[in-house]
Amino acid sequence: MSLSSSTDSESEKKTIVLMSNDGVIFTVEESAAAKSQTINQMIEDGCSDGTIPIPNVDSKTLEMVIEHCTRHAKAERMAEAEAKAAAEEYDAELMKVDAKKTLFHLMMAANYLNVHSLLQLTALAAGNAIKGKTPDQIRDTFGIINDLTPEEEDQIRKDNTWSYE
Amino acid sequence: MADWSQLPYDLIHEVASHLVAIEDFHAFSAVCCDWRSVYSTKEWHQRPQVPLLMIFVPEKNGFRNFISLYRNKVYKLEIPAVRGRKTWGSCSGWILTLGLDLTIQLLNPLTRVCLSLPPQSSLQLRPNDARTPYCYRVIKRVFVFMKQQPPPRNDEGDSFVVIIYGPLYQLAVYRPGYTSWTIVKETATLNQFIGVAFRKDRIFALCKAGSLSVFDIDSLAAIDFDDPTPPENVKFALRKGKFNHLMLVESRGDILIVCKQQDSNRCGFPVGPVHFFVYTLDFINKQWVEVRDLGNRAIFVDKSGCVVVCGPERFNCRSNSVYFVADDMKRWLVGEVWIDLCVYNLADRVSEALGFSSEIPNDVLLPLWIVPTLE
Repeated sequence: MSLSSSTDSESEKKTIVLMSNDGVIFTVEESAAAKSQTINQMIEDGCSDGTIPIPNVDSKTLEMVIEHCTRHAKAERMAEAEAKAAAEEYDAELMKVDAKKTLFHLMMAANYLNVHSLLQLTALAAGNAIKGKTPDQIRDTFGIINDLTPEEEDQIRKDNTWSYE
Repeated sequence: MADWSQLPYDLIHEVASHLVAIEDFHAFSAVCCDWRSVYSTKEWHQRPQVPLLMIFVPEKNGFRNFISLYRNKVYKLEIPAVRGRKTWGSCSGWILTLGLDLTIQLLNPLTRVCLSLPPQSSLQLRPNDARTPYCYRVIKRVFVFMKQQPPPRNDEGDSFVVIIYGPLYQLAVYRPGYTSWTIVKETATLNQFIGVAFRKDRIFALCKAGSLSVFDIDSLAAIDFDDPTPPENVKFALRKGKFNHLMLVESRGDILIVCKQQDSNRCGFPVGPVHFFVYTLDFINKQWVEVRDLGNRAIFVDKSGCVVVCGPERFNCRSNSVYFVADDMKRWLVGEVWIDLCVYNLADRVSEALGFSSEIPNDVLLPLWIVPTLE
């Protein structure tokens, strides 16, 4: 997954500088950064100059968020089939990331930065990872520890959850 | 540190909102405390479900097997409320049960919710029909409908029951709050009804002569309706008296007739391949039009009628297909009935057995499709 290069020639586009919590700097087009409602609010409030620290997101995750936003902003701006396909292609890649860690960080980042399209995407990927699985298998997939007491598990059985074993 | 169980409640809810099958909701609710909490406290939009096939378990009284096509597995559940009671399917999540004391109940076999309905005595039967053993054969078919689609959660509030009953195959209705069954008085001719569907506040009823009667759900008054001529296959089934081969059903605003076709030998046993024909009512031209392609829908047929489900692939089921139970007639003569769950493809008109075969003690306890609900 590589960062796409900007090939459209528009006059001097504004850029936003972001810094992940592990100190990596990312320069992003304003239109892409604005896909994050959090950052968009800063842009509108006029406090988007300088480097914006993103304390909750590491560089690996932030890179993916930025790529998603860049491609979608481009697709919206250019209304070209090619740009739209590029955005969808990247989204398909994102849907395949490992559920345990990468997807989790991606979802939390999308939530913190308020990127609606990415939040929807990660939620869908997580939902798909649940489908067809037993509770044990789900815990395995997501790395969750079973903290239900035996009484609670008994209650689940009694509660008309007919498919629970 | 990735910890899915610590996900904010709103995000857990967001994730689970992508689930469709009820079995997935159940699994989701049993993962950990936080997820269970979200399941119990949040509102869920329930999408139409593919039904499970409920089969009698011969060696265990009061138990039923439920075949889940989605998960390709069988659940064995104890259902005390069916013991000693006669049952009818309604092509919904409910079955109607009749006790020896002639009390009537509506039972959800999966959630075990059991509602009391007015007793059979409120049907104003003639004395002959109220005597044993005829009294146990009064109810012919049962249909349960929701007034609103999709139904609001936790609500048996706007569902209602229509039964075909009595030697004249009349209609009676129950709605929550009724203390007795309300008989639908037919106009003009004495129609003997064989199937019922519900669409936009109107009850559609197919009768033995092949005509359609329409009634308003609130007033139960008959509505003038230009009757379309039944298709040939339907007329044939009616002439042969194969009333349980015809099913009237509503789907996405369409009124459909599903017509099963199978030859019989001289003794009346069904032989040869099964075929299905589907017709939709063209309301404008007042005629039945054959549906060659169901599109993104599947039909599930049992002896009480059928269920139509949109988007069956989400449940690992096939589109443009009819799921039905075939009986192995060769075994009838030796006192066993073997049944096979099969799927018929409307495009190539071929059936395929799905590998769930079962022996049931007799043809009275034939399998029923049960539509699961969230509670």
